[in-house]
Amino acid sequence: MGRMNWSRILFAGLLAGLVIDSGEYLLHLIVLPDKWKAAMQKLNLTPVPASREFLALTAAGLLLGAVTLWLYAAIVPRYGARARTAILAALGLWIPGYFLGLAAMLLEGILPLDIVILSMTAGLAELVCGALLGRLIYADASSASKGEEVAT
Amino acid sequence: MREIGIFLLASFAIDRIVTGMFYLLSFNSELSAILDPDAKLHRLIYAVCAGYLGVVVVAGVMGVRLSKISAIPLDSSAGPAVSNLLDVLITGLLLAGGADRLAEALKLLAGEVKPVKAPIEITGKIVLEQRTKGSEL
Repeated sequence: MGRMNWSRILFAGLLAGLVIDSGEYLLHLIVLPDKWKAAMQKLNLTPVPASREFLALTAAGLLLGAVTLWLYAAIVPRYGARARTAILAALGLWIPGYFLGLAAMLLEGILPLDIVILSMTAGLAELVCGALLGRLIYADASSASKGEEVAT
Repeated sequence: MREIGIFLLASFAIDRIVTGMFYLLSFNSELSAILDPDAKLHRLIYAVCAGYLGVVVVAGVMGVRLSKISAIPLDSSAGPAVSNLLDVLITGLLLAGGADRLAEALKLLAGEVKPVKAPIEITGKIVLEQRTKGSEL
């Protein structure tokens, strides 16, 4: 079993994180801010300032991207370096990270259905797109460094 | 004119940030191969970074939007959320695309011309010899 290349995982993961961040920003701070405000008011909570929410979403997205690529690199020896493997890695994080967390909040009556459905759908799309992009970069970097090794 | 100036300045800033980031990352031996401008994925990585800066940072957080700059009122018949989303997305994509074009224009202004790769030409003589049974013995 080959060793994992951490600089490649980190780089591809951060790029996947940028894709996730873009989706999260557009969904939560452009499309859904009014619905979030209403949901927070219903719970008697003061809405989080947009700057703090942006920082939190950015950090979480980058971390999620890096973890997705780490998971992809970890399962590649078993499932092969295919697009399907990247989708599996994305699903492996989406189920506990988005689906279970949001479903629990819906069942507890904390969040409304529209926020939950939109967040789940967008989260799945972001994670899959991020993982596929990260896979392309991770695979290309590994083939490029193999070529260098052969050339030297 | 002012609107075009703002767009050019924002695109220039995006291009410089992404190019500077690539330059710093190219010191890593593992990443230098894919960050080379001739590499297959260079354009894709550039588009992702410039797209993020254009859509999220400049159009989203900083509020540089097409509707504000051009003073065209948003058509909210599809809902304010959808028109806001389109405004941010289109502005960001214009900025990211502008950054890419601007980078090429700057290269032309600086006189940086890519050397034309001439096709490989091999000259010589090929001699074909037919071996007969007698000659083998």
